[in-house]
Amino acid sequence: MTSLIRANFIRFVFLIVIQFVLKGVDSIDIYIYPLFILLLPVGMIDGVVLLVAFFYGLSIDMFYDTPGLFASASVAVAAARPLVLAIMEPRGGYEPGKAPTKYNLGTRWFVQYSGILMLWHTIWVVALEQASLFSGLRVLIWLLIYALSLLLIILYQFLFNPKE
Amino acid sequence: MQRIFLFFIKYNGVFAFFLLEVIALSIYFTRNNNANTQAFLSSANGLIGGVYESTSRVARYWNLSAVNDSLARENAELKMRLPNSKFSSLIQSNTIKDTTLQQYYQYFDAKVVNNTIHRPRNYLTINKGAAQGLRANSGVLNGNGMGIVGVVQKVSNNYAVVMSILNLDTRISAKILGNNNFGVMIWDGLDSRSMNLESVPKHANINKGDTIVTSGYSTIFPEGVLIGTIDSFYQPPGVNFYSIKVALFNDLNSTQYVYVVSNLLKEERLKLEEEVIND
Repeated sequence: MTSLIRANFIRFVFLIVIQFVLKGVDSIDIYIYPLFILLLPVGMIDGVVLLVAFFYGLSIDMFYDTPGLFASASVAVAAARPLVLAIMEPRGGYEPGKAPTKYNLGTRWFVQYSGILMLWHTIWVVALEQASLFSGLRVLIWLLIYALSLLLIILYQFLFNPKE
Repeated sequence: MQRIFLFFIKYNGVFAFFLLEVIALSIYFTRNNNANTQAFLSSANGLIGGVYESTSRVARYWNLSAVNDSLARENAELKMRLPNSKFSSLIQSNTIKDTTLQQYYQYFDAKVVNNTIHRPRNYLTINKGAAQGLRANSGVLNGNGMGIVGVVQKVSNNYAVVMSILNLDTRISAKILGNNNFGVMIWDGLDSRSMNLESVPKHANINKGDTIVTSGYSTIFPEGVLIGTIDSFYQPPGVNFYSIKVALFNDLNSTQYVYVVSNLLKEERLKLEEEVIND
Protein backbone atom coordinates (compact mmCIF):
# COMPACT_ATOMS: atom_id res chain seq x y z
CA MET A 1 0.00 0.00 0.00
CA THR A 2 2.71 2.48 0.99
CA SER A 3 4.82 1.43 -1.99
CA LEU A 4 1.82 2.11 -4.25
CA ILE A 5 1.42 5.63 -2.83
CA ARG A 6 5.15 6.24 -3.10
CA ALA A 7 5.27 5.06 -6.72
CA ASN A 8 2.37 7.34 -7.63
CA PHE A 9 3.85 10.31 -5.79
CA ILE A 10 7.18 9.91 -7.60
CA ARG A 11 5.30 9.56 -10.90
CA PHE A 12 3.34 12.74 -10.07
CA VAL A 13 6.53 14.81 -9.71
CA PHE A 14 8.49 13.06 -12.47
CA LEU A 15 5.77 13.51 -15.13
CA ILE A 16 5.36 17.21 -14.29
CA VAL A 17 9.13 17.63 -14.80
CA ILE A 18 9.04 15.78 -18.15
CA GLN A 19 6.00 17.79 -19.24
CA PHE A 20 7.89 20.98 -18.36
CA VAL A 21 10.81 19.86 -20.54
CA LEU A 22 8.41 18.98 -23.39
CA LYS A 23 6.92 22.47 -23.14
CA GLY A 24 10.27 23.75 -24.42
CA VAL A 25 9.71 21.95 -27.75
CA ASP A 26 8.79 24.65 -30.20
CA SER A 27 5.77 24.71 -32.50
CA ILE A 28 4.02 21.58 -31.21
CA ASP A 29 2.50 20.46 -27.92
CA ILE A 30 3.26 16.91 -26.80
CA TYR A 31 1.50 15.64 -23.68
CA ILE A 32 2.79 12.98 -21.35
CA TYR A 33 1.23 14.19 -18.11
CA PRO A 34 -2.11 12.23 -18.45
CA LEU A 35 -0.10 9.02 -17.92
CA PHE A 36 -0.30 9.69 -14.19
CA ILE A 37 -4.10 9.54 -14.28
CA LEU A 38 -4.05 6.51 -16.58
CA LEU A 39 -1.88 4.57 -14.13
CA LEU A 40 -3.78 5.29 -10.89
CA PRO A 41 -4.75 1.96 -9.29
CA VAL A 42 -7.91 0.18 -10.44
CA GLY A 43 -10.70 0.24 -7.88
CA MET A 44 -9.85 3.64 -6.41
CA ILE A 45 -13.00 5.58 -5.46
CA ASP A 46 -14.09 7.59 -8.51
CA GLY A 47 -14.50 10.83 -6.58
CA VAL A 48 -10.96 10.58 -5.21
CA VAL A 49 -9.48 9.88 -8.67
CA LEU A 50 -11.28 12.95 -10.02
CA LEU A 51 -10.11 15.15 -7.15
CA VAL A 52 -6.49 14.03 -7.55
CA ALA A 53 -6.72 14.58 -11.32
CA PHE A 54 -8.14 18.05 -10.78
CA PHE A 55 -5.24 19.23 -8.61
CA TYR A 56 -2.73 17.47 -10.85
CA GLY A 57 -4.15 19.35 -13.85
CA LEU A 58 -4.01 22.63 -11.94
CA SER A 59 -0.28 22.17 -11.35
CA ILE A 60 0.23 21.58 -15.09
CA ASP A 61 -1.83 24.71 -15.74
CA MET A 62 0.55 26.78 -13.61
CA PHE A 63 3.40 26.02 -16.00
CA TYR A 64 1.37 26.50 -19.15
CA ASP A 65 -0.32 29.77 -18.08
CA THR A 66 -3.65 28.20 -19.00
CA PRO A 67 -5.70 28.39 -15.79
CA GLY A 68 -8.35 25.65 -15.88
CA LEU A 69 -7.56 24.13 -19.29
CA PHE A 70 -5.55 21.10 -18.21
CA ALA A 71 -7.47 20.85 -14.94
CA SER A 72 -10.66 20.30 -16.92
CA ALA A 73 -8.91 17.95 -19.37
CA SER A 74 -7.50 15.88 -16.48
CA VAL A 75 -10.94 15.63 -14.88
CA ALA A 76 -12.40 14.61 -18.25
CA VAL A 77 -9.81 11.84 -18.63
CA ALA A 78 -10.33 10.70 -15.04
CA ALA A 79 -14.09 10.58 -15.61
CA ALA A 80 -13.75 8.51 -18.79
CA ARG A 81 -11.26 6.14 -17.18
CA PRO A 82 -13.70 3.88 -15.27
CA LEU A 83 -15.88 3.58 -18.40
CA VAL A 84 -12.92 2.50 -20.54
CA LEU A 85 -11.72 0.15 -17.78
CA ALA A 86 -15.18 -1.43 -17.64
CA ILE A 87 -15.34 -1.92 -21.42
CA MET A 88 -11.85 -3.40 -21.56
CA GLU A 89 -12.13 -5.60 -18.47
CA PRO A 90 -10.14 -8.80 -19.15
CA ARG A 91 -11.62 -12.25 -18.49
CA GLY A 92 -11.38 -12.84 -14.78
CA GLY A 93 -11.50 -9.13 -13.96
CA TYR A 94 -8.85 -6.81 -12.58
CA GLU A 95 -6.84 -7.42 -9.48
CA PRO A 96 -8.12 -4.69 -7.15
CA GLY A 97 -5.53 -2.13 -6.13
CA LYS A 98 -3.18 -2.94 -9.01
CA ALA A 99 -2.13 -0.22 -11.42
CA PRO A 100 -3.32 -0.80 -15.03
CA THR A 101 0.19 -0.96 -16.49
CA LYS A 102 1.64 -2.77 -19.47
CA TYR A 103 3.44 -5.03 -16.98
CA ASN A 104 0.16 -6.14 -15.36
CA LEU A 105 -2.15 -6.31 -18.37
CA GLY A 106 -0.01 -6.67 -21.47
CA THR A 107 1.13 -4.42 -24.31
CA ARG A 108 -1.93 -4.85 -26.53
CA TRP A 109 -4.32 -4.00 -23.71
CA PHE A 110 -2.32 -0.96 -22.63
CA VAL A 111 -1.97 0.49 -26.15
CA GLN A 112 -5.75 0.28 -26.65
CA TYR A 113 -6.47 1.69 -23.20
CA SER A 114 -4.09 4.66 -23.51
CA GLY A 115 -5.10 5.15 -27.16
CA ILE A 116 -8.75 5.69 -26.29
CA LEU A 117 -8.09 7.95 -23.31
CA MET A 118 -5.44 10.08 -25.03
CA LEU A 119 -7.76 10.56 -28.02
CA TRP A 120 -10.42 11.79 -25.60
CA HIS A 121 -7.86 14.07 -23.94
CA THR A 122 -6.79 15.55 -27.29
CA ILE A 123 -10.39 16.16 -28.38
CA TRP A 124 -11.12 17.88 -25.08
CA VAL A 125 -8.05 20.16 -25.14
CA VAL A 126 -8.41 21.13 -28.81
CA ALA A 127 -12.14 21.80 -28.45
CA LEU A 128 -11.56 24.05 -25.44
CA GLU A 129 -8.66 25.95 -27.00
CA GLN A 130 -10.74 26.66 -30.10
CA ALA A 131 -13.85 27.50 -28.10
CA SER A 132 -13.67 31.20 -28.89
CA LEU A 133 -16.85 30.65 -30.92
CA PHE A 134 -18.74 30.30 -27.70
CA SER A 135 -18.27 33.14 -25.32
CA GLY A 136 -17.01 31.62 -22.10
CA LEU A 137 -19.87 32.37 -19.77
CA ARG A 138 -22.48 31.00 -22.15
CA VAL A 139 -20.87 27.54 -22.20
CA LEU A 140 -20.68 27.64 -18.45
CA ILE A 141 -24.34 28.51 -18.17
CA TRP A 142 -25.27 25.64 -20.54
CA LEU A 143 -23.28 23.24 -18.41
CA LEU A 144 -24.90 24.54 -15.23
CA ILE A 145 -28.37 24.30 -16.75
CA TYR A 146 -27.66 20.75 -17.85
CA ALA A 147 -26.22 19.66 -14.49
CA LEU A 148 -28.99 21.25 -12.42
CA SER A 149 -31.80 19.95 -14.66
CA LEU A 150 -30.38 16.45 -14.53
CA LEU A 151 -30.08 16.63 -10.75
CA LEU A 152 -33.72 17.72 -10.43
CA ILE A 153 -34.96 14.99 -12.76
CA ILE A 154 -33.14 12.30 -10.79
CA LEU A 155 -34.21 13.71 -7.41
CA TYR A 156 -37.82 13.67 -8.65
CA GLN A 157 -37.52 9.92 -9.17
CA PHE A 158 -36.32 9.49 -5.60
CA LEU A 159 -38.90 11.76 -3.99
CA PHE A 160 -42.04 10.49 -5.77
CA ASN A 161 -40.73 7.17 -7.07
CA PRO A 162 -43.47 6.90 -9.73
CA LYS A 163 -44.39 3.36 -10.82
CA GLU A 164 -45.93 4.30 -14.14
CA MET B 1 -33.79 10.52 2.68
CA GLN B 2 -31.34 7.72 3.31
CA ARG B 3 -31.81 6.49 -0.23
CA ILE B 4 -30.91 9.91 -1.59
CA PHE B 5 -27.78 9.87 0.56
CA LEU B 6 -26.82 6.41 -0.69
CA PHE B 7 -27.49 7.55 -4.23
CA PHE B 8 -25.00 10.39 -3.81
CA ILE B 9 -22.39 8.00 -2.43
CA LYS B 10 -22.93 5.48 -5.20
CA TYR B 11 -22.59 8.08 -7.94
CA ASN B 12 -19.90 10.16 -6.22
CA GLY B 13 -17.86 10.04 -9.44
CA VAL B 14 -20.61 11.64 -11.50
CA PHE B 15 -21.13 14.44 -9.01
CA ALA B 16 -17.41 15.00 -8.52
CA PHE B 17 -17.06 15.16 -12.31
CA PHE B 18 -19.70 17.85 -12.74
CA LEU B 19 -18.54 19.85 -9.74
CA LEU B 20 -14.86 19.82 -10.73
CA GLU B 21 -15.58 20.51 -14.41
CA VAL B 22 -17.74 23.49 -13.50
CA ILE B 23 -14.90 24.81 -11.33
CA ALA B 24 -12.18 24.14 -13.92
CA LEU B 25 -14.16 25.52 -16.87
CA SER B 26 -15.23 28.61 -14.95
CA ILE B 27 -11.56 29.27 -14.15
CA TYR B 28 -10.69 28.71 -17.80
CA PHE B 29 -13.41 30.84 -19.34
CA THR B 30 -13.07 33.73 -16.91
CA ARG B 31 -9.27 33.75 -16.99
CA ASN B 32 -9.11 37.20 -18.53
CA ASN B 33 -11.48 38.91 -16.11
CA ASN B 34 -10.72 37.27 -12.80
CA ALA B 35 -7.67 38.80 -11.12
CA ASN B 36 -7.40 36.30 -8.27
CA THR B 37 -7.41 33.05 -10.24
CA GLN B 38 -4.96 34.37 -12.76
CA ALA B 39 -2.49 35.84 -10.36
CA PHE B 40 -2.50 32.54 -8.48
CA LEU B 41 -2.27 30.24 -11.47
CA SER B 42 -0.18 32.12 -13.97
CA SER B 43 3.56 32.31 -13.98
CA ALA B 44 3.35 35.68 -12.30
CA ASN B 45 3.13 33.32 -9.35
CA GLY B 46 6.53 33.67 -7.66
CA LEU B 47 7.45 29.98 -7.57
CA ILE B 48 6.81 29.27 -11.24
CA GLY B 49 8.35 32.60 -12.22
CA GLY B 50 11.48 31.58 -10.32
CA VAL B 51 11.64 28.23 -12.12
CA TYR B 52 11.35 29.99 -15.46
CA GLU B 53 13.98 32.56 -14.48
CA SER B 54 16.53 29.86 -13.64
CA THR B 55 15.86 27.75 -16.75
CA SER B 56 16.03 30.92 -18.80
CA ARG B 57 19.42 31.66 -17.20
CA VAL B 58 20.76 28.36 -18.57
CA ALA B 59 19.23 29.02 -21.97
CA ARG B 60 20.70 32.51 -21.92
CA TYR B 61 24.20 31.06 -21.68
CA TRP B 62 23.70 29.01 -24.84
CA ASN B 63 22.13 31.96 -26.62
CA LEU B 64 24.90 34.44 -25.86
CA SER B 65 26.02 34.88 -29.44
CA ALA B 66 22.47 35.40 -30.67
CA VAL B 67 21.90 37.90 -27.87
CA ASN B 68 25.08 39.70 -28.88
CA ASP B 69 23.80 40.02 -32.41
CA SER B 70 20.45 41.34 -31.31
CA LEU B 71 22.08 43.85 -28.95
CA ALA B 72 24.41 45.03 -31.67
CA ARG B 73 21.45 45.47 -33.98
CA GLU B 74 19.61 47.38 -31.28
CA ASN B 75 22.68 49.56 -30.68
CA ALA B 76 22.84 50.39 -34.36
CA GLU B 77 19.17 51.19 -34.32
CA LEU B 78 19.62 53.55 -31.38
CA LYS B 79 22.72 55.17 -32.86
CA MET B 80 20.72 56.04 -35.92
CA ARG B 81 18.40 58.02 -33.69
CA LEU B 82 21.16 60.19 -32.21
CA PRO B 83 20.81 63.79 -33.31
CA ASN B 84 24.26 63.77 -34.90
CA SER B 85 23.37 60.86 -37.15
CA LYS B 86 20.48 62.77 -38.66
CA PHE B 87 20.73 65.30 -41.39
CA SER B 88 18.65 68.32 -40.55
CA SER B 89 16.70 69.72 -43.47
CA LEU B 90 15.30 72.44 -41.25
CA ILE B 91 16.32 75.88 -42.44
CA GLN B 92 15.29 77.97 -39.52
CA SER B 93 14.31 76.97 -36.04
CA ASN B 94 13.39 78.61 -32.80
CA THR B 95 14.23 77.10 -29.47
CA ILE B 96 11.56 77.63 -26.89
CA LYS B 97 11.95 76.46 -23.33
CA ASP B 98 8.66 74.76 -22.79
CA THR B 99 7.44 74.41 -19.23
CA THR B 100 4.00 73.28 -20.28
CA LEU B 101 5.14 69.86 -21.45
CA GLN B 102 4.36 67.09 -19.02
CA GLN B 103 5.69 63.53 -19.09
CA TYR B 104 2.96 61.48 -20.78
CA TYR B 105 4.44 58.01 -21.33
CA GLN B 106 6.90 56.18 -19.15
CA TYR B 107 9.15 53.41 -20.51
CA PHE B 108 10.64 50.41 -18.72
CA ASP B 109 12.99 47.87 -20.21
CA ALA B 110 12.45 44.18 -19.43
CA LYS B 111 13.66 40.77 -20.47
CA VAL B 112 11.41 37.97 -21.67
CA VAL B 113 11.78 34.91 -19.42
CA ASN B 114 9.01 32.79 -20.91
CA ASN B 115 7.29 32.90 -24.27
CA THR B 116 5.14 30.74 -26.53
CA ILE B 117 3.92 31.41 -30.06
CA HIS B 118 2.22 28.21 -31.18
CA ARG B 119 -0.78 28.05 -28.88
CA PRO B 120 -4.11 29.71 -29.76
CA ARG B 121 -3.66 31.95 -26.72
CA ASN B 122 -0.05 32.88 -26.14
CA TYR B 123 1.41 34.68 -23.17
CA LEU B 124 4.89 35.97 -22.28
CA THR B 125 6.43 36.41 -18.85
CA ILE B 126 8.83 39.31 -18.32
CA ASN B 127 11.20 39.91 -15.42
CA LYS B 128 9.88 43.25 -14.18
CA GLY B 129 6.85 43.69 -11.96
CA ALA B 130 4.94 45.93 -9.59
CA ALA B 131 8.08 46.57 -7.50
CA GLN B 132 9.70 48.19 -10.57
CA GLY B 133 6.59 50.26 -11.27
CA LEU B 134 4.84 48.14 -13.89
CA ARG B 135 1.05 48.12 -13.96
CA ALA B 136 -1.54 45.99 -15.69
CA ASN B 137 -2.83 47.17 -19.09
CA SER B 138 0.48 48.70 -20.14
CA GLY B 139 1.64 48.22 -23.71
CA VAL B 140 4.71 46.11 -24.49
CA LEU B 141 6.90 47.14 -27.44
CA ASN B 142 9.62 45.22 -29.21
CA GLY B 143 13.15 46.03 -28.03
CA ASN B 144 14.33 47.47 -31.35
CA GLY B 145 11.39 49.80 -31.79
CA MET B 146 9.86 47.85 -34.68
CA GLY B 147 6.63 46.16 -33.76
CA ILE B 148 4.50 45.55 -30.70
CA VAL B 149 4.58 42.51 -28.43
CA GLY B 150 1.45 42.59 -26.31
CA VAL B 151 -0.35 44.02 -23.31
CA VAL B 152 0.56 43.47 -19.65
CA GLN B 153 -2.16 41.30 -18.18
CA LYS B 154 -1.14 40.74 -14.55
CA VAL B 155 1.79 41.82 -12.42
CA SER B 156 3.31 40.28 -9.30
CA ASN B 157 6.17 41.85 -7.37
CA ASN B 158 8.93 40.96 -9.81
CA TYR B 159 7.21 39.43 -12.81
CA ALA B 160 4.51 40.38 -15.23
CA VAL B 161 2.48 38.21 -17.59
CA VAL B 162 1.93 39.74 -21.01
CA MET B 163 -0.90 38.74 -23.31
CA SER B 164 0.94 38.30 -26.59
CA ILE B 165 -0.45 39.87 -29.76
CA LEU B 166 -0.52 36.23 -30.91
CA ASN B 167 -3.61 35.57 -28.81
CA LEU B 168 -7.16 35.01 -30.04
CA ASP B 169 -8.40 37.48 -27.41
CA THR B 170 -6.09 40.30 -28.49
CA ARG B 171 -7.75 43.51 -29.77
CA ILE B 172 -5.43 46.39 -30.62
CA SER B 173 -6.57 49.66 -32.11
CA ALA B 174 -4.47 50.47 -35.19
CA LYS B 175 -4.55 52.82 -38.16
CA ILE B 176 -3.13 53.08 -41.63
CA LEU B 177 -0.26 55.55 -41.74
CA GLY B 178 -1.06 58.34 -44.19
CA ASN B 179 -4.85 58.30 -44.38
CA ASN B 180 -5.56 57.63 -40.67
CA ASN B 181 -8.36 55.13 -41.26
CA PHE B 182 -8.45 53.03 -38.13
CA GLY B 183 -9.45 49.47 -37.34
CA VAL B 184 -8.81 46.65 -34.92
CA MET B 185 -5.85 44.27 -35.07
CA ILE B 186 -6.75 40.67 -34.30
CA TRP B 187 -4.92 37.37 -34.66
CA ASP B 188 -6.46 34.36 -36.39
CA GLY B 189 -4.40 31.83 -34.45
CA LEU B 190 -2.55 30.49 -37.48
CA ASP B 191 0.53 32.43 -38.59
CA SER B 192 2.89 33.91 -36.02
CA ARG B 193 4.21 36.46 -38.53
CA SER B 194 0.92 38.08 -39.50
CA MET B 195 -2.24 39.57 -38.00
CA ASN B 196 -5.50 40.84 -39.47
CA LEU B 197 -6.75 44.41 -39.48
CA GLU B 198 -10.55 44.44 -39.31
CA SER B 199 -13.25 47.13 -39.39
CA VAL B 200 -11.57 49.41 -41.94
CA PRO B 201 -14.48 50.81 -44.00
CA LYS B 202 -14.60 50.07 -47.73
CA HIS B 203 -14.41 53.72 -48.74
CA ALA B 204 -10.87 53.93 -47.37
CA ASN B 205 -8.10 54.04 -49.94
CA ILE B 206 -5.57 51.37 -49.10
CA ASN B 207 -2.67 49.83 -50.97
CA LYS B 208 -0.44 46.82 -50.57
CA GLY B 209 2.64 47.82 -48.57
CA ASP B 210 0.96 50.56 -46.54
CA THR B 211 2.36 50.87 -43.02
CA ILE B 212 0.14 50.06 -40.04
CA VAL B 213 0.77 51.89 -36.77
CA THR B 214 -1.01 52.04 -33.41
CA SER B 215 -3.83 54.57 -33.35
CA GLY B 216 -3.38 55.99 -29.86
CA TYR B 217 -7.14 55.76 -29.31
CA SER B 218 -6.71 53.26 -26.51
CA THR B 219 -4.82 54.17 -23.37
CA ILE B 220 -2.42 51.26 -23.88
CA PHE B 221 -0.09 52.19 -26.74
CA PRO B 222 1.19 55.62 -27.73
CA GLU B 223 0.21 56.80 -31.18
CA GLY B 224 2.35 55.81 -34.15
CA VAL B 225 4.17 52.70 -32.94
CA LEU B 226 5.08 50.65 -36.03
CA ILE B 227 3.22 47.32 -36.29
CA GLY B 228 3.64 46.02 -39.84
CA THR B 229 2.79 46.46 -43.49
CA ILE B 230 -0.24 45.44 -45.52
CA ASP B 231 0.48 42.09 -47.09
CA SER B 232 -2.82 41.57 -48.87
CA PHE B 233 -6.44 42.68 -48.61
CA TYR B 234 -9.85 41.88 -50.07
CA GLN B 235 -13.45 42.98 -49.74
CA PRO B 236 -15.62 40.19 -48.33
CA PRO B 237 -19.02 40.23 -50.10
CA GLY B 238 -21.89 41.64 -48.09
CA VAL B 239 -19.73 43.34 -45.51
CA ASN B 240 -18.88 47.01 -45.38
CA PHE B 241 -15.34 46.43 -44.24
CA TYR B 242 -12.04 45.34 -45.73
CA SER B 243 -10.31 42.20 -44.53
CA ILE B 244 -6.63 43.13 -44.39
CA LYS B 245 -3.69 40.83 -43.74
CA VAL B 246 -0.80 42.60 -42.05
CA ALA B 247 2.79 41.24 -42.12
CA LEU B 248 4.35 42.02 -38.74
CA PHE B 249 7.70 43.78 -38.49
CA ASN B 250 8.82 41.71 -35.53
CA ASP B 251 9.25 37.96 -35.02
CA LEU B 252 7.67 37.13 -31.66
CA ASN B 253 9.63 33.88 -31.57
CA SER B 254 12.96 35.66 -31.16
CA THR B 255 11.85 38.46 -28.88
CA GLN B 256 14.26 38.80 -25.94
CA TYR B 257 14.19 42.40 -24.80
CA VAL B 258 11.08 44.54 -24.64
CA TYR B 259 9.98 47.97 -23.51
CA VAL B 260 6.91 48.39 -21.36
CA VAL B 261 5.16 51.69 -21.89
CA SER B 262 2.69 53.01 -19.39
CA ASN B 263 0.39 55.95 -19.87
CA LEU B 264 0.72 58.32 -16.92
CA LEU B 265 -2.59 60.07 -17.58
CA LYS B 266 -4.61 56.90 -18.12
CA GLU B 267 -6.65 57.07 -14.92
CA GLU B 268 -7.71 60.64 -15.56
CA ARG B 269 -8.84 59.86 -19.09
CA LEU B 270 -10.67 56.63 -18.25
CA LYS B 271 -12.43 58.30 -15.34
CA LEU B 272 -13.65 61.10 -17.55
CA GLU B 273 -14.84 58.71 -20.27
CA GLU B 274 -16.60 56.56 -17.72
CA GLU B 275 -18.42 59.54 -16.25
CA VAL B 276 -19.87 60.39 -19.62
CA ILE B 277 -21.01 56.81 -20.25
CA ASN B 278 -22.60 56.57 -16.83
CA ASP B 279 -24.48 59.86 -17.15
